Amino acid sequence: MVPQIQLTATAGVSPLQDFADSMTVFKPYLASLKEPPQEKEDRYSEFLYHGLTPQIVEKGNGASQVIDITASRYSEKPSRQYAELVFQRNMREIPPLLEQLKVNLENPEGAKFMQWFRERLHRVWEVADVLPKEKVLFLSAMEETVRAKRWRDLATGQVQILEQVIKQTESGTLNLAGALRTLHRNFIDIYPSASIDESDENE
Amino acid sequence: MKTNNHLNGDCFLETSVPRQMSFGHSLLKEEIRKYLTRCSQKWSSFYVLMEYKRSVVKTLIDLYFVAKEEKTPSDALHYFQEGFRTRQNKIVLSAIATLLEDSEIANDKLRFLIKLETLIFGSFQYFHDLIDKYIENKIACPLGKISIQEGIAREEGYRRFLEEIDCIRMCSLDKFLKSKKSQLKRLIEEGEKDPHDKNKGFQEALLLIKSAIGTLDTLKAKSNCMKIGDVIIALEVPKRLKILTFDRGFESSCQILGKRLIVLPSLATLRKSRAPAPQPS
Repeated sequence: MVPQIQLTATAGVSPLQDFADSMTVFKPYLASLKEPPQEKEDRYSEFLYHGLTPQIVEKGNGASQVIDITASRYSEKPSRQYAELVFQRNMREIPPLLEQLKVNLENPEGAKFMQWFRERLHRVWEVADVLPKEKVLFLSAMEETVRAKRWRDLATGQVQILEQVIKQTESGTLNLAGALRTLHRNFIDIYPSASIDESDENE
Repeated sequence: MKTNNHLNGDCFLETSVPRQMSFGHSLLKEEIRKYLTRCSQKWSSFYVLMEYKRSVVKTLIDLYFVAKEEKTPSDALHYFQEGFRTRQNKIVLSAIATLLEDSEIANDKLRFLIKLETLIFGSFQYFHDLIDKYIENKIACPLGKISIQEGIAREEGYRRFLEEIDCIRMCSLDKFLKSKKSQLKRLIEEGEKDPHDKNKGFQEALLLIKSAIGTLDTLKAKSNCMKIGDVIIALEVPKRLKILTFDRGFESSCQILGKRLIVLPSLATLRKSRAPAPQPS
């Protein structure tokens, strides 16, 4: 027996039709625009990207061109201002997460706050190419503070320090050197650890 | 020998301590932390700072430039580990190797370079953040004072650092050693006796000192200065400070010179002490 695909749509009305209908509110505006000719062979990809990309009218490989242009549009480097905004927004979101983490270090609830903290850092990595070097190094250092550590490996004091460092960096009152100094003096490790000893002769 | 493991009062951190504290095995880091929290003030010297910069910061900067040239981070590390590994830089290289266990770093050269820059910037500052005070710089080693200058393009800063860390003998090591000649003679006399004659690291330095005891000028050469580093440190540390080190080579020089010493346990010793005791059958 072939398993049936379950759709949440009303019988007889496809989800794509629902979406198309929802666009009718824009009709007065759209009506003033002359629609370019549509290629009908590849309705699926055409519908998906309708309204987002320039229309491709060339026959044959139209679908792949639409995808190529869309991909190139979104792989363009973000602007410096946008990257700064992403940095700032995520750094602002981290302290409340760390607050929650701090009180949940000894129970399973803490795991999700740790995970969300990592996710915020990851989001900033996505725009790291255009961030100022000082911010990238800060982000990198923050990532190292929790590398290979589970939420329950952290101490309340360590989370407190991280929270302060992130808050002050985001507000501009602490530079990279100051942030590192705070981490160093509080024994928060950002350095990878060797698996051998200096005196090991046969590792 | 004045070796004891009680650490109250001020201590002097020898090069292996900040190096292991930043890049050493996690068990060693934990052990050092225990000692440092009991130590009231942490001292060091510009000579030690120079050794730290040469073994840690320089290694990281060299690796950074190699990584820029090589195709992948693994290629860079492999090249470095095969040809340019010394006792001093091997823990740094081993620590960097653990970073490559993260596939996001191992497969992304740019990310790896950012990580190296983070470590260069951080480790450069680390020493200063760890140390409370410096002893008088009688050797006048200029290398301890060089820095990665702020305000210039970062790679240009690295290039200048590498140029400057290459010693051009603009120090007062010869004068310093001459002022310590009687202590050097004592090291030579006592160093031939048991148990010091079996201390390999100490004997290598001693051999060099013996050959140069006449004028002491040749010890100022870059390679010689590095070889007798442990003796230089033992000579420069004031008696009131306890030297904290992982290096057993210091045992002889400190005993002969009457300096206080704490040798921290090796990784093997720590592992043994943590291994669960065998259960009686």
